[in-house]
Amino acid sequence: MKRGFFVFEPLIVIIFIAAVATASFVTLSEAQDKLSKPLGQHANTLVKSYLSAETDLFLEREMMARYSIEDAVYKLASSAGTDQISSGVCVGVWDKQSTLSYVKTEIPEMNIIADNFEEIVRREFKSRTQKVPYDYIISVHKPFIVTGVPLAPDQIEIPLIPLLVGEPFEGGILSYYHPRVSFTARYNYPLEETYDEIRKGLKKLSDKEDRENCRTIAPGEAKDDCVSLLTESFNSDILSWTAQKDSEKEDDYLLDITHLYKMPFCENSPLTKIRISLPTGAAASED
Amino acid sequence: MRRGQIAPRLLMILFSWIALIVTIAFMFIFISPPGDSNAPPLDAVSAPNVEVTLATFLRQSVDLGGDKVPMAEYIAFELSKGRTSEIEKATNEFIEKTLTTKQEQIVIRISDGENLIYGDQPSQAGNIIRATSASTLIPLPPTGDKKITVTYSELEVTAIRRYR
Repeated sequence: MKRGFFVFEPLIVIIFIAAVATASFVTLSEAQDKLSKPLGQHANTLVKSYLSAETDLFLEREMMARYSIEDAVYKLASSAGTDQISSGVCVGVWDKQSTLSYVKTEIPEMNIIADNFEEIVRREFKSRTQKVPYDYIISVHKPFIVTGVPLAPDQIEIPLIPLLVGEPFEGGILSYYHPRVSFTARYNYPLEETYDEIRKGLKKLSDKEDRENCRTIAPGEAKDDCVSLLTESFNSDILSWTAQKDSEKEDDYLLDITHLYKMPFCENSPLTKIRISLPTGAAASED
Repeated sequence: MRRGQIAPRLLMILFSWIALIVTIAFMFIFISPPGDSNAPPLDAVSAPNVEVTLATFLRQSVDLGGDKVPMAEYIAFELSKGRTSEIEKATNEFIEKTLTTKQEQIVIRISDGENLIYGDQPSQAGNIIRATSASTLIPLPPTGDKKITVTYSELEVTAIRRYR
């Protein structure tokens, strides 16, 4: 090998290394400036804005939502799962016990009950504070979960990442985020099981084909006792039933169905009051 | 060139090529695209500590009659019952868990009511107290017209030098 090769070859390699290293570190430095600094500042702005909104807006709204949900459970119970206007209310320290009336109705199917509950929550929440409309996702299985998803952005504004601020987009100049923050409340209330049991109990009482219920007994004390005993047999871990004869109308019985679960902020239990008509029925005449 | 000089020079060339390859490899490692899962977290984020602590305090889950509810609802419930001992216990437990070395104070006040002060209560005498605070409002049921104000403060206490 020639002498010049041993001199120039390492020299060229070293110069090449130096060039590549310099270029890479310059590029790295520029990338950090472009990415880390604005992103870091922006993340900072996002966190600060969100935390301010958390203490100024979101916590307060979520609390009102929770109170609305808790009240809605009582209203739904007093309307027997229907969408009728009802006077059931969660009784806290500041509230007075409302007087519930007996409703004469059938218990709807679960999907209808869920829809009715959603409507009641929407009404309750709106009456309290709601400025932003919400959609609700309701899980009726235990645990009972209600998630509120805002349908419109909130009025708080968080500046966009500095690199994007002022850049045109379809609607004009993009400069702010308008955040949407959902909430989730979960309870141990067995909503589905509760209404399933009520539906099942009412079916048992009023079924004309059922020979084991009290409809075959002629009106009188024996029938009253039978209805009373039969409804007591429906008692379970989640419901307590009582029945009494309606003094004003023959064949009518008044059922008090107490849901044994209490919502966290409430001192009373949800109560479903149903008036049921049990005329001495066809099963007896068919015999 | 003598035979004995060739081997070290060949080694030098070999090492220089290795150095080149390593440099290029490092370049690819360090310049990763944004959003890469291996990218280090942004350490520029720094939210005000007091706001973070207050949010954490009021958002923590506590047991209320078998349900897990936010501390905010628990405070509202206990105050509505006129009970402050449970709030004091929960608040002091929280303050013990926070890792700050500063003195901390949580003040809870129902509309037009008295201040309930929990946590550190440094002596005013002989100290200069500077507080960094964050506060929020918890509405009370049923209408939310009445509110509870909860304020979290970090207190900086500086002893005054006394001259005789």
